[in-house]
Amino acid sequence: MTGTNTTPDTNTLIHDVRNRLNRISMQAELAKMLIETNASSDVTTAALDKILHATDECSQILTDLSNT
Amino acid sequence: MPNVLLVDDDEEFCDVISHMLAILGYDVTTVHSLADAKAELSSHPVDHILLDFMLPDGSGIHLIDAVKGKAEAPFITLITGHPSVKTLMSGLCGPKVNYLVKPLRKDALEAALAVSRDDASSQSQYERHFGCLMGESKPMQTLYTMIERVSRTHANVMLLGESGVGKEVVAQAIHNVSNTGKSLVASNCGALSRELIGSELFGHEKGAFTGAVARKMGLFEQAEGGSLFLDEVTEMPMDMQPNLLRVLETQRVTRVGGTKEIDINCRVISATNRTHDDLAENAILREDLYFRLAVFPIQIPPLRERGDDITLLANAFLGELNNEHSANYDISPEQHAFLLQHEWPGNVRELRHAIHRAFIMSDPESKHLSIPDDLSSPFAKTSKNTQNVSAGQTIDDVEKELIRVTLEQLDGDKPKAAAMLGISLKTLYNRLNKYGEACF
Repeated sequence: MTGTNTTPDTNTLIHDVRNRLNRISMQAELAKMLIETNASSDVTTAALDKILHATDECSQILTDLSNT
Repeated sequence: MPNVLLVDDDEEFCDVISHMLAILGYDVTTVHSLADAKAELSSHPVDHILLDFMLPDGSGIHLIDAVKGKAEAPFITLITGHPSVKTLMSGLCGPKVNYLVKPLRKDALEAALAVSRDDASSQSQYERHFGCLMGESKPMQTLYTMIERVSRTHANVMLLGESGVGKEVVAQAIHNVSNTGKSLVASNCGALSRELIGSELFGHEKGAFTGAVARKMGLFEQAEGGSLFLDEVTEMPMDMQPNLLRVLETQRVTRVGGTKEIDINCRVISATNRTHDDLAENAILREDLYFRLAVFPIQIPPLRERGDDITLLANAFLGELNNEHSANYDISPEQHAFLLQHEWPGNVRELRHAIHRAFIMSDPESKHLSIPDDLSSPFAKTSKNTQNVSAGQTIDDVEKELIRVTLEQLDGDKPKAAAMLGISLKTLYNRLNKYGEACF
C-alpha cells in the first residue's frame, strides 16, 4: 500500500491496483471451483471475503490518490 | 502429477493460485524471489514455472535467461500487468515462454499450463500466440498487437484476407484474449441456405414455418456473452443483410415467427476473402452493414508476405505429423529454401497440406521429407493467370502477359496460341522476338 506522506508514483499505483484486481479475479475463480467441487462453505466464504478485502484496498489506493 | 514452481512476491496471490492448481491436479511449490527460485530449480527440476515479471530482487527475465538453453528446460509462463511487455519480449525469450496478462482468468491459466502438461513427444516447441496462432514475422507481430488491442473492447471485428490465411484461427485468438469465459459460436454464411438463414441466425418459434417443430435459439443467442464468428459474411444474400444490420444496430433479435425482442450481447467477428475493392465495386455488402461489422477491420497477411514464418510453420506442421505417427523426418535447409520460393496462393492451408502430402510420400528409410519438385495446385495455376488489367500498365505489358498465359495454357503450342489470340502465326513470332522469347 502506498504511504500517506509521499506523492505516489503513478506506475506504482497502477501496479498496486492491478495486483488487487488479480487477487479479486483469482479468488473469484477459486470460489467458483470450490462451489463446483462442493467444498465447505467456510473455505468458499474465505475466498469471497478476500475479494471484499481487495476491493477495500483498491478503494483506499484511489482515496490516497485523490488526497495527493 | 505435473509440478509447477510459482515465483511471485504477492503472497495472497501465491496462496490462491496454489489452491487452484492443487484442485486442478498440479503439485505446486511457491517462492517469492529470484534467488529462491534459482535455488529451488537447482535441486528440484519442474515441468512449468509461473513467473511474475517484477520481483523484489530483479526481473523475471533474469530467470528465463538462467534456464534457457538447459537440457529439459521447463516451460515458463511470464505473468505481467503490461500487455506491451509481451510484444517487446516475443522472439527474445524463445519458444518455451508464453505470457499471461493480469488480471488472470482460470481458462487462460489452464491453457498456458497445458503446453507443458501434454506428453513431451506430442507438444509443439513453437509458441502459439493466444493459444492458437503461430508466426514471429513482423506482419504477424502487427496482427498480434491488433488482436490484443481490440480484445480489450467490445468492438465488432471484420477479418479480411485471402483464402487459407487462417481467419477462423484469428477469430479464435480474439475470443481467447477477450477472456469472456463464454463460447465462440462459428457459422459459415455461405453454407446457410437462403430459406433457413434467418432461422439459423435469429432463431425461430415453434410453428413459425413448416418443419419448425420446436423453438430454436439462433446463433446470436447461442453466443450470448461471448463471440459470434460469421465466416464468408459477404456471401449472405443481399435481401437478408438489412435484418442483420437491424440486429447489430439495436442489439436485439426477434426470432422468426416471434414477436418478442430479445437482447443480445456478443462480439461479432466476421470474415471475408473479398478485397476492399471487391466490396466497394461489386455491391456485395451493404455499406451501412460493412461499417457495423468492420468497426475494427483486420487485414490478415498472406503467407508470402510473412517471410521466415514459412520455415517455422513447415517445421511445426511436420513436427505434429512426426509426433502423431512416431516418425522423425526433417526438412533440409535446401528444401526450406525451395519452400520459400513458392508463392503459396493457398496460404497456410496450402502449406499444411503440402507438408502432409510430402509426409505421406516420404521414404520411411530416409531422414528428409520427400517434397515434390512442383508444389503448385490447379488453383495456383488459375490464380497466376488471372492478372487484372489496371491503369498504369502499358499496352506492351498487357499484350506480353496475354501471350504468356495463352502459351502456358496451350503448353507452348504456337499455332494454336496464334489462332486463340486471333493473330497470324507470323505476327505471333514477331511479338515473341520483340519481347524476347526467353520471357515466355
